[in-house]
Amino acid sequence: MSTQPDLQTGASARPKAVDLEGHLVRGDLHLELTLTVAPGEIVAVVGSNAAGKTTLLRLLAGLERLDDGLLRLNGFTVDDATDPGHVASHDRCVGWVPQDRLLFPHLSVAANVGFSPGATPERVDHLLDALDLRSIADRRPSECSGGQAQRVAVARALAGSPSLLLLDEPSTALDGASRQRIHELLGADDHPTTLLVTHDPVEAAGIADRIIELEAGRIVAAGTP
Amino acid sequence: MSRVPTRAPRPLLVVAVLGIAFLALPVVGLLQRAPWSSLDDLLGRRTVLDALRVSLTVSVIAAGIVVVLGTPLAWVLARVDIPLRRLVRALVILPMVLPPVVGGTALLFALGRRGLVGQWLDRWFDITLPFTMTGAVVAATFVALPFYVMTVEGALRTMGDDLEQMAGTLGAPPLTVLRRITLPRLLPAMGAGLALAWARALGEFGATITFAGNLPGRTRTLPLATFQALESDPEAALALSLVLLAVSLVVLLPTRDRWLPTR
Repeated sequence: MSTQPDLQTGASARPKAVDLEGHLVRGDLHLELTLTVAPGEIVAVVGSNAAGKTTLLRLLAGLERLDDGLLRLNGFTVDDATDPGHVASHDRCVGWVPQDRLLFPHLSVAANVGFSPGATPERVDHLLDALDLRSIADRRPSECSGGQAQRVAVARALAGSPSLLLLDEPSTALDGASRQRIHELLGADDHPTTLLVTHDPVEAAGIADRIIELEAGRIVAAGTP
Repeated sequence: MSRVPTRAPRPLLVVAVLGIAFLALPVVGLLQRAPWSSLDDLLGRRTVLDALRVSLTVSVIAAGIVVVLGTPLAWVLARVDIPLRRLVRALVILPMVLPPVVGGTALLFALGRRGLVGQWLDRWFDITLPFTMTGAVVAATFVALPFYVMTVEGALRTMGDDLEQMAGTLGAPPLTVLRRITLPRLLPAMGAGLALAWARALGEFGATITFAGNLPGRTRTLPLATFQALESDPEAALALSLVLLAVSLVVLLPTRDRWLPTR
């Protein structure tokens, strides 16, 4: 298994399409996945709490290994249950925004946003302004409200210009204004190719270009909102 | 809103007070008998200064080695799924529960001039450890290392690896994650572990006297000098004990959040 899938976009590159393909078995998740996310497209995966949505994102981000099957990103095998090696998360060029945000508590907001080795100062500046974080750039995450913290997490994931942005319940604990800002950013011309999971069909319909419904670890429906 | 204070049963309080008295009594006895008026003179003696110098040298070097060896060891124990992990951890803890004299004897048979490894150190590199200051450092490191490893490993487990995983998804390679996420968050625990390990190294007696001997100016540390002075010069022994007591209290300061909660 070589070291890196062809997902690199670079800081200023345009969004690219991302092919997700595989037979994914992990816990209760049994998923035949064949999905092409178009450049800049937002695909929402909806489903109930035990549907396996978060597991799917963690598998894509390289945070969990498959129990069985394999996973390809853009035709590149990043995980194969029969192979002890796999492509580590830092080589996958995905941006992950977990539900509980996981901001680095010892770093300021600006240092959180600029953490990715791929983040340029210009990109960090742009995101601090775009997500209205400039005024709290020197604060620690513990001094931020829930909405601010969520915006920091989104900005941090976007700063390295990932090829695929993975959002886990992005609007949880957001106030209306924060939700609107994130939606605006994702809806902007240069928004990244995005896969988000949510339990909220209304949010999915409001933000996504396409919706996939996951139930008990399997895709049961797919379509446009 | 304040909580209703817990009312302790009277028998429990009585036993607790007895426990406090048991721990405090020796300290009070030491302070009561201390030769306060001649303390300056006693602490200025050559034997005391030599012991202080040896103790500080040995314990500081040992503490440095403990951090260098102990940090990766704690990380591996907390984060890596190594085979026989329980056995490895038991081996790490062993010097904590082993009588120090047994530890010193084991070191002698492992690193002595005819020991398992010591014979090769002597033959190939002309390195002799027993009855040298280096030997005292080895003995102190041996007994102090588990205190550091257990403290840091516990902190790593409590921290979890979620933030490290998060940093990985942002493209940070493992060494960057270690440098920018793990170590900065681990610093308080490393400080606490270091203070404990240093205090243990400073107070080391059994392994040192067995492996490194009791040579004035070379391996006679403060505890050894105290023990020696008890027979010939009890006042000097009291003065040396006061020095060790003062150092122990200073060591408690950086660990106060861990061992001395505010309530």
